[in-house]
Amino acid sequence: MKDMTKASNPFYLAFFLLVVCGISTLVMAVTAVKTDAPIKAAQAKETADSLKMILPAFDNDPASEAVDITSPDGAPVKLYTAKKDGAVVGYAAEASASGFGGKVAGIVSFKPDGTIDTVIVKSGHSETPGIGTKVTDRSIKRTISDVVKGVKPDTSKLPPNAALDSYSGVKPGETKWTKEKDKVHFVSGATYSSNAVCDLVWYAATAVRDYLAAPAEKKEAN
Amino acid sequence: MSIFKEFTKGFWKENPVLVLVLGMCPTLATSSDAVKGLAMGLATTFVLMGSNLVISVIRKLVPGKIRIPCYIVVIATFVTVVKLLMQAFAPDAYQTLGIFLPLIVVNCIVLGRAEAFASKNGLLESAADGLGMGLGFTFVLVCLGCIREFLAAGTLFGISMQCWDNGFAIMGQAPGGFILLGLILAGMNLLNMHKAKKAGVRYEPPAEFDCRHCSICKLSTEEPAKTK
Repeated sequence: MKDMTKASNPFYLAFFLLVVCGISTLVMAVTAVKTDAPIKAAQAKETADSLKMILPAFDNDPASEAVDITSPDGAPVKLYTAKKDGAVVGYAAEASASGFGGKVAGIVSFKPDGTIDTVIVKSGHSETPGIGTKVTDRSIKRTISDVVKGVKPDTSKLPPNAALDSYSGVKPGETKWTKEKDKVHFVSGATYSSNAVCDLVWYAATAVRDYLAAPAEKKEAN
Repeated sequence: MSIFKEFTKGFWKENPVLVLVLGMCPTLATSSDAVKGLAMGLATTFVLMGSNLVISVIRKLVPGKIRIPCYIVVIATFVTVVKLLMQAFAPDAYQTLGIFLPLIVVNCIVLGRAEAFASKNGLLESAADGLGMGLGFTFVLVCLGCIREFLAAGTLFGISMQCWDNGFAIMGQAPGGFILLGLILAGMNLLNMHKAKKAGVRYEPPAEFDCRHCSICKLSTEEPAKTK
């Protein structure tokens, strides 16, 4: 009978729940503290790896010197400057736009004069596999015969992607690229993903264009 | 039932997706390709096993009135832990699963096993049940993922099978998953009916798997059916 009264006493119930929540908070806090450094390292590694792939050889640390700028459309853009021996060898700008399955984030690299060099889309988007990913992913195509023959995939250079590569060598004009007027590649059936890539490249390119056009003092202010 | 039986029942006899039909949301969303299905399945297995273990340990301490909130807190803790661990040590898998990783908290399979099994059974049985159910879930997700990925993009685990590049695009999306899952469930029922016919009995789904045992819809005038 003692148990019955204990089990229905609201104060005891509240106390019990409090203890359970306390223990669980402790477990989560310990995990969060322990995984904090590896998580930061993993995130930094992804950005560093992407920058290494799309920028020419540099000897500074673009990730730690990144500045936040905004595109003329008001989209936030993160700008990385790659330098070698103190001279700028290229820029990379990270921007995002919404696609079919949510946010699509990408990094666009630029030659020092603001011409688009390479576009990559960061992993972690939710575009439809097989449809939207045709626009966004630079995946190494491995076939079953390669696997059987033991052919190793070539990881030395970035795998091609017709849609992303179509922006290479382009400079942003006054108006946004359209399917009809410009050479940029839209994939039929993946309109939303194509638009997302087009948008994010546009945000990055116009932000970099304005950044380069701005006088030096303003750059310092950034 | 022996530990081994508790472990193996998750694969076929009481498979969480194909027989208990639980956890449909992650099943449809993360079985679009085999790798995603595998990552989701393994994350869920970890949570299932961990929460089953802890709940089985505290089952006699928890007052009945607050057992569900307690179980949810335990499950949520495990999900947060697995989320942080994946973010740190398997960032690719973490990115692929996206929102569905934290949503394991509300996966019916996890709470279902906690309430229906771990809260009534010992430590070893609960661990075996959690592991078996989790691996059964993983198995179904990977199978569905392979079929869907193959039909939609002609690949398996991202490797092209050199059949087609543009398959049935719908298979890559939730409706395709629904259609495929429906066909598989129908196939399983057909198989069970065929077996029952051979044995000369009428096929009926096991009583504990349908709603007959549940007392929610039976109003208080009636004696609730034997639940446990």
